[in-house]
Amino acid sequence: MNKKRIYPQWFLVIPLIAYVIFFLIPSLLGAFYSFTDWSAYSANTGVKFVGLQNYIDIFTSNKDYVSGITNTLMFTVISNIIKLIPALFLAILLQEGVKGKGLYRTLFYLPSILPFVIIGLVFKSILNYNTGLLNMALETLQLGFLKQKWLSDLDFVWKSIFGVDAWRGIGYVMTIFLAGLNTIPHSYYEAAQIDGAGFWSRLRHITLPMLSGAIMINFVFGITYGLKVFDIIYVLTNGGPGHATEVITTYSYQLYSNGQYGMSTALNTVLLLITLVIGVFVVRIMGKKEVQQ
Amino acid sequence: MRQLANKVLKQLVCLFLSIIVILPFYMVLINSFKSKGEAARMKLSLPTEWFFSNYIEVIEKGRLIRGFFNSVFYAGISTTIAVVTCAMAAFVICRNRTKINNFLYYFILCGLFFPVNYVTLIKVLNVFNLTNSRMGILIVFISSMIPFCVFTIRNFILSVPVELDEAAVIDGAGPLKLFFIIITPLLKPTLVTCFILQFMSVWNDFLTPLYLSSDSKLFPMTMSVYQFFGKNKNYWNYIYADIILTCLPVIVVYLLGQRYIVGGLTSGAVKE
Amino acid sequence: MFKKIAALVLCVSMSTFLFVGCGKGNDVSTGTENQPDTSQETEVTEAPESETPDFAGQELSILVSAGWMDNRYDATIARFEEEYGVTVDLQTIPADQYSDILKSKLSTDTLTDIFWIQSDPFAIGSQIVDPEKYCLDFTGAEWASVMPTARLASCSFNGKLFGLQLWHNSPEYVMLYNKSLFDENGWTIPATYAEFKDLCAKIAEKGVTPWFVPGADGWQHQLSFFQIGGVYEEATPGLYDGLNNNTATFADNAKMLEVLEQFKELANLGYFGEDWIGTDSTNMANDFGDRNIAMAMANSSYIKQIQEETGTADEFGLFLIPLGDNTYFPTNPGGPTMFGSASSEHPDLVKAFFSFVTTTESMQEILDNSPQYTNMDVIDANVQQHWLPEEEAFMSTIPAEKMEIGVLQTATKYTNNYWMNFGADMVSFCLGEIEANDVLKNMDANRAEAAKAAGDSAWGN
Repeated sequence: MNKKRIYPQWFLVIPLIAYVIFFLIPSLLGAFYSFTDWSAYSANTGVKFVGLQNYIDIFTSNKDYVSGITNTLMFTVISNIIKLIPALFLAILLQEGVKGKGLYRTLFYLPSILPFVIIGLVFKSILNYNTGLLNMALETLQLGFLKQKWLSDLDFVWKSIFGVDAWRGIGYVMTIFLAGLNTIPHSYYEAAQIDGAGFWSRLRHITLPMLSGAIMINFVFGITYGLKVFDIIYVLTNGGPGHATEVITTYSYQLYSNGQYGMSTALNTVLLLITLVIGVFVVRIMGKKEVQQ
Repeated sequence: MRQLANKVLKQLVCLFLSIIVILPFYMVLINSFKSKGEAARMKLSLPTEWFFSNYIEVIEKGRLIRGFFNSVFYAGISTTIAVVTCAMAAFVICRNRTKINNFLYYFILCGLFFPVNYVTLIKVLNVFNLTNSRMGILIVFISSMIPFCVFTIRNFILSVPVELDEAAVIDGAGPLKLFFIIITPLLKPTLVTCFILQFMSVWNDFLTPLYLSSDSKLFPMTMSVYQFFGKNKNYWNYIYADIILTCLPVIVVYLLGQRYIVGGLTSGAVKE
Repeated sequence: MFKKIAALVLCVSMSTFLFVGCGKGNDVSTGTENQPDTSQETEVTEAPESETPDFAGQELSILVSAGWMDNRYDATIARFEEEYGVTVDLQTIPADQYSDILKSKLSTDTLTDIFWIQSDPFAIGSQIVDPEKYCLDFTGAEWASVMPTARLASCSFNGKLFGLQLWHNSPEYVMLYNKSLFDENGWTIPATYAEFKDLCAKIAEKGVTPWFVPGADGWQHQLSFFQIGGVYEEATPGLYDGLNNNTATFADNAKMLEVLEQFKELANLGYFGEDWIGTDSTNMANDFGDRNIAMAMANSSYIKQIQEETGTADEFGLFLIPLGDNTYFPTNPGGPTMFGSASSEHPDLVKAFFSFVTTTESMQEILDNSPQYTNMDVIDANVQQHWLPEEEAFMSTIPAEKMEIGVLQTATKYTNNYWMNFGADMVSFCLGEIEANDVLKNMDANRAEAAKAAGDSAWGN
């Protein structure tokens, strides 16, 4: 079979051209500016090449950019654990047949449709200490001692963010798992049933291996989402209280707003490098598994 | 007995989760019928007086109809083009694993990690004279979803047996016929999933059109909610009504698309 | 064969893609006509027989933040459209995105015909940077005479006039209090910080939040520090000049440290409410109406808003923020300001618009359509102002010499750029994460960075 003929290279042309010209080049140009002193004032002074100065500043500045980087990594790990595992079980639960499956599937997906601004508005109101729904509900359930300053107590603010993020994201992750589960032939499970395999054994030997595609997609999206996280933090705490929930992107956004574009893009580039390293790592591991099968 | 308990438990879990999911939506919906002051309280109670007129006000003041058509245009067209062309690309990348194609796959995948820089993007668009036009916004949207689509679709093509291609080629099908007649129907679940996810993200992205255009005629529907924001003068009732109207189209698209995902068209062919 | 045709089709469609794009870039108005136009606006496309037919059919685009604009220009813009046979495209941008959008449009030459900035005497230099390049020069325009001298300073750069500022002169962000509640309980307006603290204690005893501080907004609580700029200048005469010449710092300023400590003291005593850091201003009007709160920093016009939205019968009044025993009025001769873009394709139309909005008729119309504002700070005796009695009562208590020193954030260079950072640092300080002096040190460091970027010689650049 002539592969060149039935899989013609020109199928690639449009995405490749569009991607390179309108996505890659602008992004790389942006990264290039991280080596300059480009700022809002450059109209007067011109853009000068400053080498690695911006990167040195990031790690030596009086502002705690480093904690922004660690927060970003922490968010990526925890938020993904919180979303992926429940979403997987939820998907299996729905797939195994619950009455009203279609309805639930639709409902669980809905939160990821809402714009972030709205999520911010609604949850700031729900999490309000005095008038918020959550604390009021706790009080009516005689659980008043659980009341918290959800968005301003340093011990709880990250937990609240994770909670809201899970509320928004689980349905999305679940949908991808469901699409994957749909492609697993039912006969596999029937055979396993006959062999007397229990739930965990079926999960380990059939579901997880067959889901590797969906798992990989969720991993890659989850990691890139986590590392690039901005909106959910911006609308809920804007990096606060104080600077407790600053991540790379919120710092970068502040720098951009203050007109320090060079520094801002340098911070973005640091983020890009971290993402690339982790991303390539994940894709490699998954790629190997793929070959093994 | 145990099975019944199991069933009830599952049902309860689902119901409980549904309530948690629905509650914020209910808050938005019910408050969209209240007066400005009452809506600011964000209570779950029914409105003391129903203001259905909020919706009419919002449609007029927020210029929702124009925004709606812009959003449909951006999200509909860019997503369709991207999904179709990316499926073609992913098909070739997946099936013909030459060195170049493998490289191109990872090359495109890198895009998932790159941040957008609007200033340099505008400069590039300027070169092609594409700033401040619908076409420019469209191309930027298409370009930005390519890594996502190629990646997702390629992963699903892996599960489509190569034997199908061989059979089709023996029957005398060319590449286009092979792809569009034989392969595409099998890819429907992933194509629809891709379409829905990307449609939504374009629908909710108001920043791109905002940066790329200097003409409010090009603004998408999601921009309109900001007409009601401002320091100390937030019209909460309008904001909520606007949110409901803006989210409806996406929900409709999801509901329509879901049928195809549920249909699971691959299973039949792949099983064999 | 099939393959070749398909390839051809794809290539052709790809190039038309780009080609059509180019066409649209050149002529936006034709590009948008391809789209079914179902919008409800009535576009004036036919040229009316007006006295000035030269503008007919043109489009004037205006970029403005939603934070500064409501419907108050609508009627005036409609009249302008009718008189000149043009369309006006008023683009209101989300407030938190506005300055970023503006910066990107400035640096990529994709500006609208008219744009706005939040101006103050230093803002043109720091936000527009190069007004000669980006702005239309209005030096000598007739409408310059309607602006008070104090406002002209934030509209001019190097002696040239660029901007038009039509803004109100109401007291901004002073203490607004529930007068009825005060009268019923025999509480009186405090003149010093000590009196204020005692008052808060009494109010808190009644189960009312003494001073509502919406910390979650992120931009409000620091007003209590900056609006009282006069006390810092009084404590250290020449401080403002020193800050602008880099001979003085925020750090180690005793008065500033005192004010920060006072703020934290009130916060720790719970006088801002149980969770002020996590509360935003969404429900502030209702809280006033329900008597949940007794005081808050607000504009005088907020009184009207409370009364209209909640229907409360309570009366309200104003007094000066008493931190640091302040006695100075927050004079701030800045505000949202309109500029014409130098790259506009029809500068004469822009000039016509500026002239049009500064006629007595237009200014009256704009004022009457602004429920938020009670007056317009212009030199035109024919404009009917609508001062509130509460405002007049408050203003009459303040001696003229207490109105001469501007607020800290706009009277000193680069300070306002770091408004949000300072607010976040204040919260960190209240949470005990950093010291008061760190808050001030961070401001110095930030200002130095901005000065470096701007090439300011006072900072040794």
